Amino acid sequence: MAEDHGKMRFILIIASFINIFLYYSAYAYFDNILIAIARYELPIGFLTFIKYFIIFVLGFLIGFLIILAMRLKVSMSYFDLKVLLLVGFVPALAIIFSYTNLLNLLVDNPGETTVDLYYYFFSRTDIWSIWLGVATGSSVRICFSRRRYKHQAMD
Amino acid sequence: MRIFLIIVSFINALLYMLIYAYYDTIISFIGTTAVSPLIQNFLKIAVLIAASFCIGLMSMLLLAPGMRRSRFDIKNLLLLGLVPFIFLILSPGAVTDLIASRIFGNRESIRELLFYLLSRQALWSIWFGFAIGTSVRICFRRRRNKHSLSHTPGEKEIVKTGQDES
Repeated sequence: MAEDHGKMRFILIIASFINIFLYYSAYAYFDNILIAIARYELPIGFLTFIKYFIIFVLGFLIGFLIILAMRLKVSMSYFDLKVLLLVGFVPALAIIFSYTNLLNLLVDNPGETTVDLYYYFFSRTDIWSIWLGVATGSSVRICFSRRRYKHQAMD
Repeated sequence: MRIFLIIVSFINALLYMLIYAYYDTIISFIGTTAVSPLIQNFLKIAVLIAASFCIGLMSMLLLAPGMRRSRFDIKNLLLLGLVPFIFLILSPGAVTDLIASRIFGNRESIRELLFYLLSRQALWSIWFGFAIGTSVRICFRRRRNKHSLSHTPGEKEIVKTGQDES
């Protein structure tokens, strides 16, 4: 049974690696893909979302790979929301700030320098997306041991 | 101690991100001629690796996997960090050009393909930084000595030798 768990873990690690390369290729050749799908005239906002979503998934897979490599011993599979909130709230906030006008509401009477400073900090969306992805991926806990039932029938 | 380290890592990650975000501004303050472009590029990557190391360390500290002793997991680093490290070395261009010219006969399409594939240095450096950060294992338990000295009055000194029980 332990061998089966090792096999399952190994398969998941390989699958994550392959997915990482596929998503990375999609990200690396995104401009070429855009040229190919230009005839469909998709909105720019949607394409930008797709781009950063690919980076997010890439980060998620890297985080998931880290968790699989760690061989954590957990009694059941779950999603650790605490870790996600602590590690991922900064990039999530930065993404929200970079794509909304929320900052203008928070900063009273912003000068040109202040706007520039905020813009440079929050505009690194690719970095924020990958950080958020890794935070999400490393919050996944998978139990590979056999499921134990709470109730057991006895003669 | 754990919470203190989490806070320190978090602050450091934000500081390194600030440096990365304003890197061009900082370089223009120093003067672009003072530092060679190669060093500038290296520093940019190093800052990004340091930022992602702090994030990786932070998530590792939050996980608290219950280590017996503090160590650096080389196996984990090799498994997770080998690929980004190789791509990071190949990304500057000279090595890629050499591969393209020697193996693929210097074809333009292959060169472009390799360039696009390897040029995302930010991604590779972040992945590599995470791999290093998550390979750190820190034990927060009190250290137990392998050998302890026990002495009772009227008896001989007994030196107890045993395994670390933690």
